[in-house]
Amino acid sequence: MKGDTDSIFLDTSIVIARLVHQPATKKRIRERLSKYDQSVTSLVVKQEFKRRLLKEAQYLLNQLNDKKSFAVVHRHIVDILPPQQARKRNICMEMLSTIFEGAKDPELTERAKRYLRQLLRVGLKDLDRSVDSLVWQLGCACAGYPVEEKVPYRRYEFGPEKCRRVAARCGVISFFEDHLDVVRDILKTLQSIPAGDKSAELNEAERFIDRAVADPSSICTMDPCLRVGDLLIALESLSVESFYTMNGKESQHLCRALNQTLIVRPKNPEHEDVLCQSSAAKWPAF
Amino acid sequence: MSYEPTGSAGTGVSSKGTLESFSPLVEKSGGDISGYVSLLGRQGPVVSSSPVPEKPRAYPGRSGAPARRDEIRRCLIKSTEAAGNLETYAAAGEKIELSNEGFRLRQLLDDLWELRSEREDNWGDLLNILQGALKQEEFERFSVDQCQAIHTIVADHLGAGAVGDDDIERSVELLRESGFDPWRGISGF
Repeated sequence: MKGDTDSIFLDTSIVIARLVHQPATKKRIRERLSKYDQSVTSLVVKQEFKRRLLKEAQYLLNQLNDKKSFAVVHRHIVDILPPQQARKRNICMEMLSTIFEGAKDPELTERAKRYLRQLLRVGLKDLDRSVDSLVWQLGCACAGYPVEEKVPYRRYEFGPEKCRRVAARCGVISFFEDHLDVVRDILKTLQSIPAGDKSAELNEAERFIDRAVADPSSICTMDPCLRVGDLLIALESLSVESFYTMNGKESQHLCRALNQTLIVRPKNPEHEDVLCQSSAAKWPAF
Repeated sequence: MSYEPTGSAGTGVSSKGTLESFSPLVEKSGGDISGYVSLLGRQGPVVSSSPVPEKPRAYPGRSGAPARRDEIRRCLIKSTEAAGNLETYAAAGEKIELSNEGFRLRQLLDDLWELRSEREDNWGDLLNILQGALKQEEFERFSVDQCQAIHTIVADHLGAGAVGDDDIERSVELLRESGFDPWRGISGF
């Protein structure tokens, strides 16, 4: 914090929440960031922002074009997206909230479409401008592709999602090779977590590191920014002392391995951020 | 900046332990930004692709609606005037006038919204974003900087010819910089 630690790393969940979560959550995040001199994010966060938020925006735009009704799309999201896709459903529901009270359905439909179109067109640039710095050293090639509008309000292209398609330009292999010691530290931490406490993402990260350390040339074939984004983002955040996220489940272990302070923003804006100092012996479980 | 790297080995970045670890998005420090992926039209060797700037759709100038186009023109003049007045009242600390002028501007923007079919997509999109950002705001609390931002958006972006991509980007940036939420209209309650 100011006068103490002055940079904070924003995970994908925070970057998305800053754009489309409710005003009370945004306020909480603003208050947190105001305590630091610098907000930092990274290329893999940008790639996840594209995959998670902007693709949902495209999905909603398609639904609005198809059903031509804000209310019908709203119901469709509630009825169709299964509970297993809670994250997608929540993001869609946040984006389908509206402040235009009293407006009739056709107007709400049009306004939503206009917002979603501009989110797709300028969202990435707005993300860039909303932080002070961007960690680029990992060299995620997928993140470098802009969203391109092919047909207004209808068709958008997001660039590749699979690292193997841009392997010649992907920087993950050399980054891993340069940071093998840190990667091995993370592996040790992951191996020390009881099997029952390990999420599917952490299991995948463990398998990925095992294979990557044994054969770095295979890294791109495993599509790391698609499959083990949490791990890559943790590595990108290495030089920043504080890590800010809404998902403590994986970060609690990765931040420990990297000796970082973890700050978790609960979904309920009435609750305070959970601050887990790197120096504290014990953290709450997420 | 005084933070220390947290990792024992560092990221290759952390060993420097300074701002060099990041590539600043706003060139305050004059630092080297090579390596930054070019979405802002800057240097970026990692990926060579760059967005193809889309020309704004030509202002159609529909022949059947000259009266409505003239109505837009007049409404934009009044909106620019109202936005300018916001600045004046904010600077003078005239809260009631500030609020009254804010409501007047909001009504003028609503009038423009009714005429949106006469203009290009980007124009309607920008108007929508501006209306969303101003909804539920208390005008009495607006600072001079905020009023300036609104005045600039209305006068230089919404009211100055065809609205291009740059106009939208700059307006979103102005709203964010001045403490408004450009995405307020699609943010949950």
